[in-house]
Amino acid sequence: MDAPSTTQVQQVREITRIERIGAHSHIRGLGLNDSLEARNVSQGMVGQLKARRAAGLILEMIKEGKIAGRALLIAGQPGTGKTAIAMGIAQALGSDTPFTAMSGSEIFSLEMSKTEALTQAFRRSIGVRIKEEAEFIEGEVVEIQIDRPATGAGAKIGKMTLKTTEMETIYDLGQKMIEALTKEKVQAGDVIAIDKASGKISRLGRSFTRAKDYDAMGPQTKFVQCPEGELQKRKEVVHTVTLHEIDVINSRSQGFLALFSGDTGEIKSEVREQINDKVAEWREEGKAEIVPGVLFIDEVHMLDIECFSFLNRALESDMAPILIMATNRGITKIRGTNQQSPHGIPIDLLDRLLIITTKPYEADEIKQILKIRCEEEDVEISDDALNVLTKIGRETSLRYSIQLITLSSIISRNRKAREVTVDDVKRVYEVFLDEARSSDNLREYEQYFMFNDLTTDQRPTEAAMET
Amino acid sequence: MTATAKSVWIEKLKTAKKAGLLQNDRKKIHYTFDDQTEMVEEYDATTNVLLIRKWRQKSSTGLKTLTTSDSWIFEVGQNYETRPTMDNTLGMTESTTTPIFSRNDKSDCFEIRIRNLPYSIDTYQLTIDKDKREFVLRTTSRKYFKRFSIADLDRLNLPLEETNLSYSHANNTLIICYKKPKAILDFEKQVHDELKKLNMKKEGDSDCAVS
Repeated sequence: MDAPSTTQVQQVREITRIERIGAHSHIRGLGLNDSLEARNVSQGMVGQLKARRAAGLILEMIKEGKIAGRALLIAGQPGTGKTAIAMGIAQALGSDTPFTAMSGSEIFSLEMSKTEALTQAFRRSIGVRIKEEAEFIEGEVVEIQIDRPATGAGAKIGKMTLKTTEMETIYDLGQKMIEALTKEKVQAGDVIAIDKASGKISRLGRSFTRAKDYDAMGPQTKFVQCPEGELQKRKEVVHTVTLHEIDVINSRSQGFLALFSGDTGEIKSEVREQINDKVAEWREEGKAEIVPGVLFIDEVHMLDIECFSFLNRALESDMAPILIMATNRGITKIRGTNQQSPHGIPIDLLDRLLIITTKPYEADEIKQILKIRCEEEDVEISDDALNVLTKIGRETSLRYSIQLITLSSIISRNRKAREVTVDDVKRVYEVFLDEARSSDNLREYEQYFMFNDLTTDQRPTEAAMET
Repeated sequence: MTATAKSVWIEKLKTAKKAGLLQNDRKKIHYTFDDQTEMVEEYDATTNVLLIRKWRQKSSTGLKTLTTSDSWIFEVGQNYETRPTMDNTLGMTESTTTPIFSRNDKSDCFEIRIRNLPYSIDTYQLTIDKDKREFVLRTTSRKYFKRFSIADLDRLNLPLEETNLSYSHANNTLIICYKKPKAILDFEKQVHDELKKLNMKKEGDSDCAVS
């Protein structure tokens, strides 16, 4: 029985995708010490000591969970780490506290009104910790077998055998479960628990009986006993759901299927009121606990005056999460009006905000960040090349020089070198223009571009429209 | 003790809102209890044998969350629809060869049938866990295991006696019999007398009156 199972597992492994590297995937926290002072370089964060210390204080406030409806504004030039700080807060909060990240422009949708989108975002950021009895399938995986159709297309089908010390059952797997199992990298010998209601798989560890002398395993591999008794169990579990999820489940007869399809539509305010009452009741009875989370709105200047006044009101509710906003605008027009205001946010809302500012990075900080990004992207780089990149970062922008890392590593790989050198960086720098050189280029060859003859009298009005 | 347990349960049945329907030679009775729990019983109209008893519980909190469902739970009998189809939300179903557990009562005994159990009769070990009031079925081949209880015995708080228990195996099916004690037979008679008073609607009657 062992031989077929191992070959099958290898099949499972080969379709596992590696995680992609995002712009902020190097951030693992805020990088603070126990007294909430920011360490200069820690957890992927560099510099911005004051802003990070401020964020740390906010983090403590969120963790205490007593204060509702506070708002924080992170203001600073482009590329000074505003989003990074927000991500750091999210990482430091852990997975049990809801953190919703959205961009200001996301609320403009034809299917949903602006305030509905904002309300949903608010309610996504409030968690309710409920104790519920749930049904689980818990057992040791004896064998997973996934058959793909010969044509390559079409649904995959599979079989999984689970066992406890007393019994054994074969399950037929559907497409969704196959994907989930592949994602969790479940193999024969793992002990897993599947929540019957949500289909969520948790790996509890590897079975003792499967432990062999020469198994290659990570340091975090945990060995557990094979479960006893029946495969299906009822257990009392504590889990966190967001208010939005409860809204959706209760607003339709269809139930939680809408959560997966993403088609939630507008939710009636009566449903929300009813849920608020019920949740308050649960809390009094000790059945549930409210976990206020964080709503992060990036590019907050994209919201218009209606949204801002909605925010004013929404922050007063005792069910409001902590609101974190970020903007890179200075004194500019409030969207939807002709009024000028700092950060494009009305003064009355600004008055409710705590404001942190981020400052442009110093040369050595830029170097640190580039170094961290190189590690994150698995790029070996020589010191000289790093210095050149730092110089480029200082003179153009940090984002531009970060982008050069990957590209120059491709060039160095093409000439089969192990390290990125100054020449590689130079070549990429010549091929790809940064924003300033591109503007210069435009200015120089302006007259050769399309629709150029109009620009002489159009330019002033266009400049006025740009805010 | 038994007498009080019995009267509690029969009072509960008496006070529940009941609606009856006679359909396809089956007497169907729908009970709604004070806590909004629903129970449906189906009896054979000629022999008065209980064919189906199923329950539906409203979640205690009133609101639906992910784990609560509003499907029927069968105590006796089986769902008419054979098996849940593949497109259920879990994306995983038991294979068609897994044993199916169901209770089908006879007039003189509680009968439990487990289909799709191909192992020979000497594989099975049936014991009684008196503390938990459960029957425990084990297989020496470690392929099947089940703890189950007979709710009727629990309701009247009757002791579980090994002497009433027997089992046999034929056609891939394990049949477990538990002889109904006299208290159960008396009680069932009482329930039938009570149900005779209930106004049964014939199929085709449009309104379903609640008495």
